[in-house]
Amino acid sequence: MADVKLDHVTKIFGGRVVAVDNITLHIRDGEFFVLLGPSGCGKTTTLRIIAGLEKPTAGRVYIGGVDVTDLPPKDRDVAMVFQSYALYPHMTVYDNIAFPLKIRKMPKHEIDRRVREVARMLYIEDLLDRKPAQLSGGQQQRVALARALVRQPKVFLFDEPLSNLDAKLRIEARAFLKRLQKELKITTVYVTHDQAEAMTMADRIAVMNAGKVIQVGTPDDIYWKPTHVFVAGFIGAPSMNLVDVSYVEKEDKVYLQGPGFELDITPLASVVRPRLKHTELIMGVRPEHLEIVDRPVDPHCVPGEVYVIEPLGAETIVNVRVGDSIFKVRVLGAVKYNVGDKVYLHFDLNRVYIFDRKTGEAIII
Amino acid sequence: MKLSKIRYFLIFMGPILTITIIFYFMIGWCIYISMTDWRSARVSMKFVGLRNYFDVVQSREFYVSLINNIQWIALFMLPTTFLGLVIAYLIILTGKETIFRTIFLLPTAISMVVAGTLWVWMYATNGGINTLLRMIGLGSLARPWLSDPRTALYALIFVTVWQYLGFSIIVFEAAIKGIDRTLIEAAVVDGASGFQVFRYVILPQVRHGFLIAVPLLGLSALKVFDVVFVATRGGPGISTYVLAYYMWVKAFWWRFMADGAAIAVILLLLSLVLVIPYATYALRRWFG
Repeated sequence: MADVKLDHVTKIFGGRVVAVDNITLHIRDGEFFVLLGPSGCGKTTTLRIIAGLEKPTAGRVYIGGVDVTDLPPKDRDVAMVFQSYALYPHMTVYDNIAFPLKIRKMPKHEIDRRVREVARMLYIEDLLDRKPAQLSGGQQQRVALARALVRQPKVFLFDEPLSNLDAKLRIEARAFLKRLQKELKITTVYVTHDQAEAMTMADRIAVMNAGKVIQVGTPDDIYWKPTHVFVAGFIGAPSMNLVDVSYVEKEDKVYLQGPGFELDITPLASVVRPRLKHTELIMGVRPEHLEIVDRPVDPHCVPGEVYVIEPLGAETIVNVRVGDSIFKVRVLGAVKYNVGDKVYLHFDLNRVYIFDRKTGEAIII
Repeated sequence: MKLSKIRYFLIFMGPILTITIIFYFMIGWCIYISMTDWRSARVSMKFVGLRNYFDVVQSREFYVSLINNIQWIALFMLPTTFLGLVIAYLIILTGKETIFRTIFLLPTAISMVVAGTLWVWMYATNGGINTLLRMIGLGSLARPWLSDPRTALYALIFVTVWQYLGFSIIVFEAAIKGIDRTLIEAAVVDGASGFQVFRYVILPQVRHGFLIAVPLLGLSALKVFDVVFVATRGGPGISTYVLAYYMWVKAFWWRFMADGAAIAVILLLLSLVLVIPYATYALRRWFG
């Protein structure tokens, strides 16, 4: 049981490539913490720094209050599950799981007891005599998990452990892992680029981009209150509609003016105006927060035309062309519209996000 | 169409068949000569059965050569293989592979005759080794390495270790680099020390490196000739005789062609003893 602290950690490769840029994080004891970001954002490097596989160029790492920055991995009491599972191909499943205990010179009967206990917990008891090559992807993933669990480490580190599984198995494993973590209450740092994984499993998420932590928060915070346009665009499927707009005031009304449309945001003016540094903005609105209507129901509607309809069964994604922009709209069930229909998009101003186009930072959340 | 097919067959298979036929013909011829009484500059092909074999095997030179070859295999093959593996691992750990590989491969690249000559200088009474020993205060150990029957053989064996180490390093460097990096990292996170990583993760996964290095190095030790020829000519006395050198002495010094051929056949049989178990093991492992 331990918390993990990263204090102004920076990692520069080869003197030039900044993989991790001055990150400060506090991962609480027993927390399921997800590092989320696109490939190359530095999330895996951050995880490897916690594991001790990379030495930070600057900054300190603490596990359970102890400065471990200069400690080798074996003295940190962390366990890691790799994307490739990293099972030793020449050992049986049993020996793979027993390996961390064996090299700690634990007595044989104690090793045996623990290996069997973990194997039972993960439903791999009848695979113990097999070699990794004889296992399916899902089974290999469980063995890798067992090898990490058997030691009862202070911290679990996961590096995209589900990305090699097929979609169905991945969703099962997601729930299984979450449940397991809640039962064991071991502090977990989990790296993924899959926002659905992050949203479903995490207690808290750190969204990373270009080596920096953009936002840290609960899945709800990240979804509802993105502090940066990058977070807004990264979370959600389909992703948030983001359109370059300008802030325009005319005749005591306030508009967001996009390419070929104007949205009246007068009720928000008192909030937006004092925070503006300039008028170049990005407007964001999630597909699930837009509504298609036949005629304007209030001033916050803009005219458009149905462009593409993507039925998904339980829901339908309707692409509506407004001016020169396409807005994706998520509608439950089927829709009555056809391509080419003239419609209006109704914006719920409480759920319209506005970002500064230069800094990407949120102006209203 | 038909004609062109025949032509392609001749172009590609012709040389291979020719070489194979000549190769096996030579072996056959050698076996035949080993059973004749060709024991002078004049060719003589009278069949005498296995008499030459009995003569050769009973000679003192053969006995010394065989023991020397066995020592050579043991003292050359094992250290070269294991040193190669260990040094390859250490080189990879330093991350400066290109430089070290070049340094270690240089001896392998130069001709054994050149290497032999170099080491004759090194081993000479006032050569590099003795000078070095005297410099570090171990002058009492200085000796004429190649003229002392107690050290001559081992001095030569050392030259071959020096020369083949680069080869062994290359083989194992490739084998180690073929191991998935994350396996090593997983072991490190699991708590393994550098030695434990080597023992439990790397060693079991470089078996194919042994499969390449061991038979090739063993054969080199069995066939060793040039370094003996250049450095000692089998001396002092016959203390550094090896089978290949004995064969040369018999065939081209004494002109006892039949005896030389008999030694050659014995060498061939010994090579097969060394290679066949390994080859079958390898084939079974790789092709089930």
